[in-house]
Amino acid sequence: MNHPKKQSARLVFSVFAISLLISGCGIQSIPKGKNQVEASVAEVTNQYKRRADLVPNLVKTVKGYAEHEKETLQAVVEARAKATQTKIDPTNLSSEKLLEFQKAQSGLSQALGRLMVVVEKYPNLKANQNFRDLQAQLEGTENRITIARQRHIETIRKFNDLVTVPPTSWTNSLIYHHEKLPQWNVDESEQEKIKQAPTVEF
Amino acid sequence: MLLMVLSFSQTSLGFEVPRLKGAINDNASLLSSKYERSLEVALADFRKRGGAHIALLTVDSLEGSAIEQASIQVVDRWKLGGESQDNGVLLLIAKEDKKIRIEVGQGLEGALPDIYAKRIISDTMTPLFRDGEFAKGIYLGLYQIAQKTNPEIPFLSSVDSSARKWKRKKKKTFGFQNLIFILLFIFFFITGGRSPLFAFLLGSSLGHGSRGGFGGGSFGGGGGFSGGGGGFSGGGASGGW
Repeated sequence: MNHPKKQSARLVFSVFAISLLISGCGIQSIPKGKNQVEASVAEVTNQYKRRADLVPNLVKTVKGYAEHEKETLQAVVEARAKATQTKIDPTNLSSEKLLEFQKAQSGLSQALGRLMVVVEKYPNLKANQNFRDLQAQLEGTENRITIARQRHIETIRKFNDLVTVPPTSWTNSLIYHHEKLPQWNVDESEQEKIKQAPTVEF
Repeated sequence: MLLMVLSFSQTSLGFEVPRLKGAINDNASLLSSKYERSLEVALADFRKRGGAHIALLTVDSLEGSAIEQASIQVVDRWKLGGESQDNGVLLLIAKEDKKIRIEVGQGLEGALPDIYAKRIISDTMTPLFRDGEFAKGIYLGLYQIAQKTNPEIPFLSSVDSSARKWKRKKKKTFGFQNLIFILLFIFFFITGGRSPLFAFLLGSSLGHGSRGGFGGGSFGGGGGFSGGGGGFSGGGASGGW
């Protein structure tokens, strides 16, 4: 027969032990990791949207100075349209969808890159304060995109660690059944650009 | 060949974040001790009054890293700014790379947008740095950052008087700007200062910002300048001289 005092002491002890187990086994950290991945995806798309919002003003400003660059400007406008149409759902990330999104965004990156090369020919445009401001904003946004992507990669890595490395992976296979998330890659077109040796002309 | 390998392995080491010593971390020795002390006190005092958490880091070299990468590494480690306010700003200067970056905390991206960060770098700091006037460039850079983030809080520094002298000299070479300023003043008295156009023109013609005369405060050491957990997401601007 158990003494009532002894029983309550046992209860306190077991609650303590269970709470210790819970905090280390991934019951909390796996959903938290998932939420962090979703937040970091949202941040990436948010920064891409910020860039897309800058484009109309940029195109308008450049148009005023560089009428002969219609083709380059048209390419930017089209790439922007494509980039804003492709959306990803942060709660449901598939690697195909992510790749498609990346492709559309890097299309806009390339079109903008070409525009910035063309702009070098127009000193009046480069001296225009409005253009310089837009350029500063664009640079800032590109940098934010880079950092948002880095943080997204990091949150995915942490989440994948949680669902694949024991002991948290055991909790995952028992309760959550999450799959490893696809990692954000440098896409093919960007990879080709890296492979090509830069050409230098003097 | 061995040299190539060696030099490659050195650049691949990349940038290492130095320790946060205080508001002024002048590892490339661009400031005289007088400037260093004065700015340290001014920035610590500015923060004590509820202003932004502004810090300076100068380094000799970025060790092959891009300045944007180095800068985000520094702020991620130092965690400038309060945790809920995210009001940190880092001014990073790389001497050998001739690069400047202003990294703006998430909470200040509205008060100090990329455009103004870029203007502080390209219009104020770069011309001075080209002349080798590093201390004055840094002083005015920090001063303008402080004015943008918290215009209501005075930025007290005992080097103000010497920096003002420099500005007066500089202004003489821009007689045209002075003329516009005088004309605007006359305009101001005629309209009674109610015209929004006036405010706009005044703002743009002053550009670098006029300042009141402060004798400079002497406060005790600026201890306790540790990070508070502020977040950064890559806002700000970069430039070079």
